[in-house]
Amino acid sequence: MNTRFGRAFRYEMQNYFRAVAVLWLAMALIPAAMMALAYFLAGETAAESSFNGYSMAVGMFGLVLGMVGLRENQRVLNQNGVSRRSAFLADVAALAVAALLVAVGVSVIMGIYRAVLGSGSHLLITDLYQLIYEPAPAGNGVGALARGAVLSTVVGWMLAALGQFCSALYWRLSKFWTILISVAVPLALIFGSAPLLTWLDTTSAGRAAVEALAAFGRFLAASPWNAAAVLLAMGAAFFAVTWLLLRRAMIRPAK
Amino acid sequence: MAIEFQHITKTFGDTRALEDVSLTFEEGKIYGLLGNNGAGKSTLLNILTGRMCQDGGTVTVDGAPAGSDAALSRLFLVGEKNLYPDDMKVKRALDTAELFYPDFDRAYAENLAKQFELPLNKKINSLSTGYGSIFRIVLGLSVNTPYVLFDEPVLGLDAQHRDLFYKLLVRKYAESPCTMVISTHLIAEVADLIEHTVIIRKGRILQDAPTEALTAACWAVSGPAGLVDGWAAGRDVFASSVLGGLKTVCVRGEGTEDLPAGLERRRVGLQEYFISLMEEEDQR
Repeated sequence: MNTRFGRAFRYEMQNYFRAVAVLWLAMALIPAAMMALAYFLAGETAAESSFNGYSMAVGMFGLVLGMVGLRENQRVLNQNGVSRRSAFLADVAALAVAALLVAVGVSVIMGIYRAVLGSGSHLLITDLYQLIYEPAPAGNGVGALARGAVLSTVVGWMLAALGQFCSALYWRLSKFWTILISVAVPLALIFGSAPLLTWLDTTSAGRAAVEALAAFGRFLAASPWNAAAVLLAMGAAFFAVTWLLLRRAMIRPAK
Repeated sequence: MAIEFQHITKTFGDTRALEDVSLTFEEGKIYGLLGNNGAGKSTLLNILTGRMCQDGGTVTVDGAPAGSDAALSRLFLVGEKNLYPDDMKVKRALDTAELFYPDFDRAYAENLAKQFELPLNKKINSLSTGYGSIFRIVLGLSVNTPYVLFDEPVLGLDAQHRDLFYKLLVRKYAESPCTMVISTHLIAEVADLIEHTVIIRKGRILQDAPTEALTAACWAVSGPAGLVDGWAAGRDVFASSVLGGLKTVCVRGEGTEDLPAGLERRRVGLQEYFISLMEEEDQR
């Protein structure tokens, strides 16, 4: 193993592990806080409450880590004699390990909650995997938790890649394009949604697009491994484009 | 074993920052990289450290392409600004340097921090300009890489700390010779330290020679203006200044001939040489 890569990976894991530990703690405390709040408000008569998509936190974590880590890591690693290529590869690897750690931790916490609370609990915790592929009670087993952790890891890694791509894109854009994109994208989402939906509903090309999207959705929903493969391909594509943007970017101090 | 720049060009929009720059920093010397603001000094160092990509030409560090792991692991840039995360503490930055540079001398770094009264538990971004410079100097003097580059190292430092830095630099160089490149505007302060001077102006190398050779080939002759003008006629005068009735001209030459009565001759210092050279270029 390239020593600079190895050291960069170690440095990044040290940084990411602190964030991982904070997230584990938060994910462990949130359901407990929800239960305490429900008990405090309604006591024994509290209605059943549910925490859906518990593992989506892994995705959000990956996105944020990808967004904030890219430039900071390139700066500090360049200062310490690591090439941008080694720094980038270390980042890709460290983000994968961080996503795995968070996903496994979140699945374990979820499993513990389910085991402790039992089936008669007022609090129902489900993750993304259960929502789409294996609803309770089948999805409550250890195997389902493990499969859920794998899917969460891939979701986290892919969103980290998306985060890095956004960060790299903004790094390379001039001030003019930064402002233009920052304004145009939200405006397009707000004012473009209605015409887009109308177009999808009223034109033959739109209906064909809807049908293609539905077919793709069915493919993803058919098996978690289909979704994982697609997400891995998306993550790899985002990382590849990020590298193309990054390799000639100017490494400057933060403002 | 050397840092070699070959035919480097770099443009920013319409501005040509470096134009066909070829330069070598050899092993075991202290270099001065001098130039006015915007001359291209920092651009050159940023290209060397892979922070910026050149438009043309090649840069190698002991044969390895600049920006590669092999090249970067052999040098350390003490830049004008920090590349460390906002929330990193000085102590953690030393830990990081220790992780990446096998020859980093932790005890020496902590000793330097003590001498400069640099607090180890403070966040880097909360340090004043002067202490920010001290923090970077401490790292630069402790990493023990074959090449250490100082870009405006004494920015914001008071006279006492600047003096301490120069003394430590000389001691370090004497104990473990390496190549040091000092880019600074405070030429008079480093003049006695630098063995080899590179002067850059508007992206082009104007001079690249041993400091002694540059200054020994020039003389300042001063005296009453009329007398100086008469003596200087036909000589290679590259700068002149008048203060009251007293005129000083800088001339190139051996400086061995006898001067007419009323004129005085003295050696030109590096700073005076630099200023005179810039004035000569301005007039072109």
